[in-house]
Amino acid sequence: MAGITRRQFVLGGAAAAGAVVASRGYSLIVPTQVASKGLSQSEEPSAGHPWAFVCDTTRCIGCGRCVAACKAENRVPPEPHTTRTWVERYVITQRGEVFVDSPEAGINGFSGPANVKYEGLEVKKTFFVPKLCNQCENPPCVRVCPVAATYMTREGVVLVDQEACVGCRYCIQACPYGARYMVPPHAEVTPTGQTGVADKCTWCYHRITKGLAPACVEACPVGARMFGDLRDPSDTVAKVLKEQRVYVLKGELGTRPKAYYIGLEEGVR
Amino acid sequence: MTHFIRAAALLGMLVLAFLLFRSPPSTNLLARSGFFQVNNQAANEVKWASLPVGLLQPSTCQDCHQQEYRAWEKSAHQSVSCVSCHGPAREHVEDGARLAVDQSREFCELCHAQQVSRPSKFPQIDPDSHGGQTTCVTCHDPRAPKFGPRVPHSLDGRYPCEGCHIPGVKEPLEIPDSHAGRPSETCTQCHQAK
Repeated sequence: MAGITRRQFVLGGAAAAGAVVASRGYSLIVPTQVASKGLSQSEEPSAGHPWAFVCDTTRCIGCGRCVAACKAENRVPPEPHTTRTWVERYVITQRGEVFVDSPEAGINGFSGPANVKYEGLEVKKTFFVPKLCNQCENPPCVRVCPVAATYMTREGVVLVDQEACVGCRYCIQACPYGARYMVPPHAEVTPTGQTGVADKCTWCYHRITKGLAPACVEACPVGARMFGDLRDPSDTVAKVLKEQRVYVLKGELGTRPKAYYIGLEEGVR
Repeated sequence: MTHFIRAAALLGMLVLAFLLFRSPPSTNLLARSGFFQVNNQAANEVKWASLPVGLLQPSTCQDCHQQEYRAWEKSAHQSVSCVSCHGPAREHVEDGARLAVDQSREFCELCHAQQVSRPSKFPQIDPDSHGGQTTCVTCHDPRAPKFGPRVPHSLDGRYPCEGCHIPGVKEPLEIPDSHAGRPSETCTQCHQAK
């Protein structure tokens, strides 16, 4: 430490800290809002992401047509645990306990009344929650990939280059929503012909890039799944996001999902 | 005096450090492509985008099935896309493969069986008591589900129902004319005797 006095060190440090704050601006000091961030205010790389998804849990009837449509459209392997989208049944009791189930990802519906399984419990509220990839603006799955096989397109859709994927499953661990799965090594039905690789919902990238709705949206009989282009102010989803109170799943994680939910209840994760 | 200034400066620095690290600096550089740059991203995007579209839209079905389309678009099932029941129709359009439609009770019950988790306004039936065990499509036209028995059936051999429900008579209950021409069934397959 030759030539530097303690005073110089402290003063220099303070000046450096001051310079950092001055250059990075206000946003560093005031925590950024996680869930309510609109497209226009978002920072790179999310700026201009045109698409958003809305699930209306007040409409979902748990018929599982979305899961069936997704499997057919995207050649998703038929096993229940290899699925790009699924439907969860939530049962919340008077005591505040939360039970969730999703038999075979919901593809064959939810036969029988929900409270059979929870006999003796006083059911306060029960409903269905469709799940799919949230296409996070800040995707943990992309960050962890050691071989750069997964990435976000300019439009904000997270895709997997399955030819580059080495099947390490790190992204499956990283996704807080459980939206990724492994294509089984000996699968006969595969999305791209590659087996032993990670796969996930692409919001039907091949459909939305042609102006079509994702398969699950097309198949939903009650309009519980909505998909839209936010650049079009007359779009249904743009209107929903403007007029309805919407929530995101696990917003506290800072992943900034682009799948929004109407009618979420505390306890839904 | 110097001591106070030093203490104040230290305190100031601590406050500054707290404000700085309360929210971690933005790490969005990693958000798009992880640790490394993806080399063949553009090619891979094209690959994903060029996968075949399997589930067609009702507007495509309309090209050939105009009568069915007209009935469907006015019905209570208008929010249900053709492919939701008929399945993805790409092969059907490309090489005329037959679309197998599941006409079982269980298929209709996927949506319409009574369940507490469903929104109460959604039309639901008790599978055990509604319509015996006949398939739903015997009575309900899937493209006009709200209108009752769609298959006309004759009234022969429907004793004892016929004793009270006489065709063309208002009291006690008229059997609609649409029920003509269905020889092999009995009333109770669809109707519950009270």
